[in-house]
Amino acid sequence: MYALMDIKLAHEPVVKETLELESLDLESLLVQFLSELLYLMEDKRLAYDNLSVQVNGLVINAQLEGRPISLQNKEIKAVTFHNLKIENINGNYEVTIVFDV
Amino acid sequence: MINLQVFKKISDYEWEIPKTYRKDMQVSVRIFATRKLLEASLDDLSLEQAINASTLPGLAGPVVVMPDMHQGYGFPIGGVAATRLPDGVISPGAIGYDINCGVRLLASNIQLEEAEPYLDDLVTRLDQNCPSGVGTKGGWKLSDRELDQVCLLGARWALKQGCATEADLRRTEESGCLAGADPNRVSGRAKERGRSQLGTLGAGNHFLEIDFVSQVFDPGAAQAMGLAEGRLTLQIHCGSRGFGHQICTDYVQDFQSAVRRYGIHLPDRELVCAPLNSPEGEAYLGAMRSAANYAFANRQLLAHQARKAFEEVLAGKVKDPHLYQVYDIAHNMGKVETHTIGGEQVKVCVHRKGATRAFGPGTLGLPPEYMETGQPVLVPGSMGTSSWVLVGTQASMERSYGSSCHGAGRVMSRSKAKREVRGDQLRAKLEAEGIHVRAGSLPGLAEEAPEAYKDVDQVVETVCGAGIARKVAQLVPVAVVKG
Repeated sequence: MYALMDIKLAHEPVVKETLELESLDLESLLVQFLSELLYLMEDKRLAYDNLSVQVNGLVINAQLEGRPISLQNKEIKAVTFHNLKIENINGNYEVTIVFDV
Repeated sequence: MINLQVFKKISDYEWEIPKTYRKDMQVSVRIFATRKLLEASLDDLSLEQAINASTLPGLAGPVVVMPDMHQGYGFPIGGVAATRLPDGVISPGAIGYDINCGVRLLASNIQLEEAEPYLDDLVTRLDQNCPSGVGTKGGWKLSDRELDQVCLLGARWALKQGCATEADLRRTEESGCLAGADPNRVSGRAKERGRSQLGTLGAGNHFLEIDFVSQVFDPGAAQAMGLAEGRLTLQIHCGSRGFGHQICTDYVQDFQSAVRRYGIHLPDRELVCAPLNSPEGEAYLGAMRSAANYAFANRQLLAHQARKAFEEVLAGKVKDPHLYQVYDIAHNMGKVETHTIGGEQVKVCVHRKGATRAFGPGTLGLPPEYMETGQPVLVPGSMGTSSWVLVGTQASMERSYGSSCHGAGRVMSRSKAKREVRGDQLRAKLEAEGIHVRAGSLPGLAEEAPEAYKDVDQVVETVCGAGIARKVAQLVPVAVVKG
């Protein structure tokens, strides 16, 4: 998501954030998580390049480390459910997701 | 798989997919298109999405699709759906993420020839006065209380700040304020995003454009609007910014569980909905109206800032540098209206996503100056091409829930447009055609290349051929500001 927006980060200061989110299925949980990152990006002008994420059932706990955004070339308006697909392929997850630009 | 055999031809400009086409359809789908536009629509999912939309509970009549249709998220852009009160549903996806994205048109007494030597300075000043681009914040930093007032008052809030006239509000859909807004239904996140974005244009396909009136088709209606051949006009296209996007995001998420609670089964998760008279439905209505009012205030402030640009550059150089409001319309909105459906007067929630209200002459809610003409319908073309001013008709009230098209309709994705068009070459081409361009981003400019859109003239010919709108004037661009 950050790469699509062509985001560059300042060197400092390093900012830490923790998130705990719960939703009714994995797809909603993913949309909620990415929407939260989008909100933090737009409101606080922060993006996170060091993420530790634990998914337990339908709960995400995340520890985020990031820095202020120094450059952003594109805007994403929203994270959508359009064509959203999460597939477990041989123990790895492959996701198809569409962002509203 | 949809093919041309599925459609029943009503006229050269109107087609139907009967509700027997698929067993979960509650109503038919009515499409306004020429055969050529209909064939082109099979290239994306817009008609499949219209069929999916026809499964929404409580639909009062057909789902309508306009000729500028293209694939959206769940619900097609160019789509109109009317659900019956009290317990038909409301669907945030059928209104769109950019709640009350819309267009404002202002007219002037400025002849193109008298302004021509100053157009470059004028477009520079417009670009300075109307912040645009990714991540831009505006000059208004609102407190919680002020933001709540914007949600409740809409464009009237701008009037209180000295940034509007009564004529501006009178010549705005719903007088620039939807009743029933409830800022308590808006999340903290949405308020944080909206707090500093008022008075900004945004990016993407939002723009300011200076045009001149190239041709008048209905002199009486043009006179009522203040439009005359050769005179400059200004279009402002933008919406509710991050405030509206977050509200839609919040409620699409919230309604994922609402559909389970109400036992609603839908073919697409972006169509999630709740009954209008449910707590969830009422909450979304209150929040959506707040976003709509934010957008009305936003376009009003941008108009005020644009007027200042015209006055700063043109005062003393042209006889009258002022800009006068023609009309302001929404093209992503949910409105409670009364329409005649099946011979009965029915109160419905009309969802318009990439479609414009187009009330015919004599319809309640129009300002006195447009009672005889019908409501102005503003149809911006793609960059560098004509735009159109139409009016709504009685036929639109009968065939399309008082609705018409909203623009040209995208045919090429943004990424494909960026691969096929170079922003610097496009800018040079526009400037060679005499169009002054200010763009925050060359890739962003390429995404909006005219070849990425349908031919707006064909779209307009269709709605006029179908009788749901009537031509008033054609506008040709001379300058554009894009984020």
